[in-house]
This record gives sequence, C-alpha cells and structure tokens, in this order.
Amino acid sequence: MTGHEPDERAQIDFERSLFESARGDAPPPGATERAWRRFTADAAWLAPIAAAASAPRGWFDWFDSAAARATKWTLIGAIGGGSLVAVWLRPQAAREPALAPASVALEATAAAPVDTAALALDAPAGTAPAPPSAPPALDTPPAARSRKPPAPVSRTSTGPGAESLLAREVAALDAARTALAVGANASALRQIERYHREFPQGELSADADVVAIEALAAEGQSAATKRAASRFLQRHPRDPHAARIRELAR
Amino acid sequence: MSSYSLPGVSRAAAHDASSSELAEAVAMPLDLRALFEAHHASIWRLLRRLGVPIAQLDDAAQEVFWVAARKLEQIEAGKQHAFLYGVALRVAANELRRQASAPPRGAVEDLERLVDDAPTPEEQLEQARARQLLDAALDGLPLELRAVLVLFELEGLDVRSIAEIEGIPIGTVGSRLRRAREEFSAIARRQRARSAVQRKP
Repeated sequence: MTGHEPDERAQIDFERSLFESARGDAPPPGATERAWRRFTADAAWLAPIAAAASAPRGWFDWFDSAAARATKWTLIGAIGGGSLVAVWLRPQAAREPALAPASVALEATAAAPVDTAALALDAPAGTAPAPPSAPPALDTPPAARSRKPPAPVSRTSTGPGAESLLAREVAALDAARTALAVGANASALRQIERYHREFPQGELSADADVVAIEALAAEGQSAATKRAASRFLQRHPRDPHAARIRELAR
Repeated sequence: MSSYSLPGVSRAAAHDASSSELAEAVAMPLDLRALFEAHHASIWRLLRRLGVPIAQLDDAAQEVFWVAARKLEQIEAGKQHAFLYGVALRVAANELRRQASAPPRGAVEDLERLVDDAPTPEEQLEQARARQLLDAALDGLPLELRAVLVLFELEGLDVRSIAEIEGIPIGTVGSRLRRAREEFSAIARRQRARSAVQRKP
C-alpha cells in the first residue's frame, strides 16, 4: 500500500502537468485581429443570410420543407395565373388599375432584362424605397417595359394578404436571380441582402441563400462560398438544393 | 446599436480608427469588436480543448461570434463569458458530430502545428507534447464529460456556473465531473505507462 503512494503522487502530478500544459495555449500572435477582419468581411456578405437562416420561424419550418415548398410554388402559380386571366378578361381600359402593385413588381422584374441601374442596386443600404412607379401596361413591349425602374419591394406597400407578401418576396428573389443569370454577381448579392433586410423572416429565405451561394461561387469567393454552403447544409440538410450546394462548395 | 458594453473596456480604447471603419462598413455594433477582442482567444482555446480540430478552429470560433453578433442585445452585462462558453459548447458538439462521419484527422499534423507555434526551447516542445497527450486523453471522453472537465479544470469555472452554462442541475455537473475525472485518470495512467515503456532504452 505504502509502495503505491509515491506512484499515486506521480500520477497526480502527471495529470496536473497535462492540465497545466493547456493553460498557456492561445491562438498564434495576430490571430484575433485576423479573425476579426475575416469576421467583418464575412459579415458584409453573409450577415443577412445567417440572420435569416437562424431566425425563429415556427410553422415556417414546415412551410420550408421540400413537400411544402412544392405546394407553395403551386399556390403562387395558381394565384398569379388566376390574376392574369382575370385581368385579360376585363376591358382594356380597366386593366391597368386592376393590377395590384405587388403583381406589377413581379411581372416587371421578371420581364426586365438585366440592368443593374434598373435594379437600383446602387441605392445605399437603409435608404427608404422610392414610391412605386406607375404600373406598366401589359401590352407594352418587354423592351420598353424594362426601361422603367422596377417597383420597389416594401413592407409597407399595399397587399395585406399573404399571397401579396409572397409575391413581393418572389419579385425580390427573381431580381437577384436575373442578375445572377447574366453574371452580375455582386448585384445579385446586394439584391439578396435587400431581400433579407426586407423580409427578415422570409418564406423563401432558403432559396435566397441558394442564390447568394451561387453568386459567391460565381464571383470566385471560394472561402466564403464554402462557409456559406456549410452553414446552409447545416440548417437545411434535406433541402432540394443541397446536392447543388455541396457541389459548389467543392 | 446595442446598449451592451464590456465592463472595463472603454469604447475609445477598444476601437481604433481602422476597426471603426470596418464596423461601420458592415453596420456592425462596435461593442462586438470589444467582445471579440476580449474573448476570442479563450473561446479558441476552449474549442480546441473540446476537440475541435485545428483545421476547423478558426471557423468554429467565427461561428461562436456569429451567434453572439445576432444575439448581442440579449447578452447580460457580466455574463458575456458564460454566454460565449455556452455557444462554444454547442458549436463544438456540432463540429464533432460532423467530424465523426469524416475521415480521421491528422494528429501528427496537429502536433506539428503546435510545435511550430511554440518554437525552439525544449520545454515548449515538452509542453506541446503534454498538450497532445492531454488532447488524446480528452478525446477518449464523451463530450458531456469532456465539457464539464474542461470547464472546471482548465477554464476554472465552478460547478454552479457550469450548471448554468450547460442548463443542467448542479448535481448532474457533480456526477459528470466525478466520472470525467475517473475516466481521464484511467486514460492518463495508460499514457504514462506507455511513455515510461517508450523511454526505456
């Protein structure tokens, strides 16, 4: 028994030395400053994405599931299609006033050729949106319609119904997708930032994140792409876009 | 802008011109900078001891401060460290889950990195080796025991604080700590025996 005591003492000292070895452990010199710079650089691109992804969403979590998303898009299509049919059945003179601003925003943005000026991408963050422009006539050629600035997506604009809110989200997202499609990646990212600012609990936030990640990848921001993709996959592991996001992160 | 400010850290001292510009550029609350500066190193160390591989450490630390940035308003004055520790535990748990399905990481590479960070003197090499043994021993513990042991032995928190951070009863912390010490001790004993055998000519 007595023979064990020195060994026990040595064992305790050994364990203590292991713990002591970690006390001085610290990141390499300058690492905190470098990490802060990276943090702020990431924040500029990703803060809205992360904020939206982590926002408490309640029943929106269900709404965001793959099956529900199919239902949601079908619903949007039905509402949009129904509106257009209704408009075309009305006399020509009554058509323009019949259009709700949100529908116009959706239509105008989707039809517009990619033009960063028209997308008002250079407006400073936090600037109050301009009042909605006059709705374009449906029989105006797309090229002429595209010269008009797109109707701003505003939380306070008309359309208290959920479908109107969703339509505005779709419009905002479409603008970003359009920018992405022609390689205006930085513009697409700004559009997504605006989307997240305006719809902090947006129902299409996962879709918006996909666009942002694609834009980051197209912009050659591989580190930011990987981080954003990793966060996305953590939060939406079963998202239909997951395979695409994994591919982008490679 | 958050009303939270770090005790003992004045805004003027905490934020030089360049960091102000950076924070302004991304509309980030300036207090976050102070929080980052005051706690980044300890969060980095905690994540390391919780088993986050060196290659993922920077990302994991960023993740902790991302959460802090989003919840800055909710952090009570004087409890910022506890808040960050709680977040770090969750981030580490997620990271370890991810690692569990990934190929084994290079322990040798990690050791080399530690050695590189602490160059020349022999005792620093010895310390790096001790750290590697410590990490190997901690790797042998389940995360729930590892976290309690690290917070108590390395971060110097008392049982009550650990209970608060982990959201578990004090009694549970006590029993986890006891089991953690027993298991750690058993692993360390085997390590010491192996070292003794290796050192024999």
